[in-house]
Amino acid sequence: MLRKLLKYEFQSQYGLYGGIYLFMLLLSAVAAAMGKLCEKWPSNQVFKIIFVISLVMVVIGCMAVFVITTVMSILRYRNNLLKDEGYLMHTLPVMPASLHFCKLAASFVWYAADMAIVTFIIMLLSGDWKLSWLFEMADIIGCTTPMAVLIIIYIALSALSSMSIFYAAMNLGSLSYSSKGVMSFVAYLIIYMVNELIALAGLAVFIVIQFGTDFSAFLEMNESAWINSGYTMNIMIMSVIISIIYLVGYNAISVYILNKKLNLE
Amino acid sequence: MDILVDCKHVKKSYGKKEVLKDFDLQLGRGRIIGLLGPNGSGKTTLIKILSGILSRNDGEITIAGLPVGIESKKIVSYLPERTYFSPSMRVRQTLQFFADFYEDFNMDKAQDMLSRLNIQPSSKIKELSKGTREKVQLVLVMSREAQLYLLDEPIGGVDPAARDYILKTILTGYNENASILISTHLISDVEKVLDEVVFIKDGRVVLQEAADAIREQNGKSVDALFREVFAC
Repeated sequence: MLRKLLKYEFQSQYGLYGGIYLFMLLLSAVAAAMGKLCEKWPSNQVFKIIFVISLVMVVIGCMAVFVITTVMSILRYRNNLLKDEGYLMHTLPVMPASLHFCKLAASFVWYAADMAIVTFIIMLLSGDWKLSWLFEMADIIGCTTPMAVLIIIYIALSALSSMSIFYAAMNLGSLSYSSKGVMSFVAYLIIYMVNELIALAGLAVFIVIQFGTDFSAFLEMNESAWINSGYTMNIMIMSVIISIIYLVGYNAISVYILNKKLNLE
Repeated sequence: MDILVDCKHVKKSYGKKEVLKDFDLQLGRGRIIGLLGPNGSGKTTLIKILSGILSRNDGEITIAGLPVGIESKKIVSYLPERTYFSPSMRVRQTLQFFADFYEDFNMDKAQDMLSRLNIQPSSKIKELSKGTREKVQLVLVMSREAQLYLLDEPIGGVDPAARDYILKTILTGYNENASILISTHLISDVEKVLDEVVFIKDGRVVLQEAADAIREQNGKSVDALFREVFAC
């Protein structure tokens, strides 16, 4: 059933994302072509202006695409599971958890697609198809292969956990009998503050484990000391663990509400 | 009586407002039942709870012996009083959607009913009028070989000419083992198809009787009795 749900989920959205990605690719192709023309005719002001405008649009577009995915994922969840379309979705003979995780999986796939498109655009505009600048930067900050793997895992988990937080806030808001939208927003603020407190507590635990109660050693560490120490790795591991806790906790809240406290009015 | 729906001591409140109060109801198979009551009496709430889109606060409910959940959803066909398809879907896609998720969906029957209503499968939901959207939903819901049909205001949004077709569809669209629970305000329109009537007032059943028995015992129509019982 999850496969069928995913099929309809992607069917309903591929048109929108396909259009956005096509537009972004065309825009970046124009920017890349203008860049080449500017190199060939450096004195041509028209090429320069078009190049700058298209480049600015590409940069804005690359940031906007992630915002669009976030907004669309939130709207899709709200409209499809918590508003009118929910009257159909929640009467399907499928587990409420499947309905929830279908949305989470779809948003994750769209984030991954956003990332792939943006990476491709960067490669196209820089003409650096091996992304050597990225590896050089990794060398400078002392990023080892295990660290790089951890960073990738962390980015993926962050995307998942941030959507899970939005979904949990909407589900908590849906329990209200009056202003569901306002209550969702309030729930999100509370969750945000709880997350900040957890992160702060995690950092405090990390400092105590690494430095004991002598905070001055921690505060006196400079950039190179950070790079050469294993602390960055430990912080990444801790961040991954916290993201997993968020992911499990907030998805459990959503699934519980959809399963036991569903309130479609 | 072969019990299809069994509600025992069901309670539901929205905040402090109690909508269903220790609600008891048993419905048999092979019947068309009118769920009648004034606004706010708990009709829609009961139907939503039976369909599984609203959780109850207390009590027990079984449908064909199954608790409300995935298994009961396989045998319950629900028509809400609002449009639940994405506006961007085509009618054809809604048929396929039902065929994909409901094993008991009869595609031929649905296509036949749509063609009788002159609804093009290629039409987009957002291009259809409100009444036509409701007809599409009714066709889909009645094209399932379900055991329980829950119809919330099925004729409320359609023109009087289409009501007869819809009522005919309801009459002929279900099998002897199934029951249809219809919630409506248009009692005079549906009265002729009802086998049984349930009156709800303030979250409780105040009358459950065969439609013919009401007419014989009271010497008046269900509509007239309703007006008498629920007179303001």
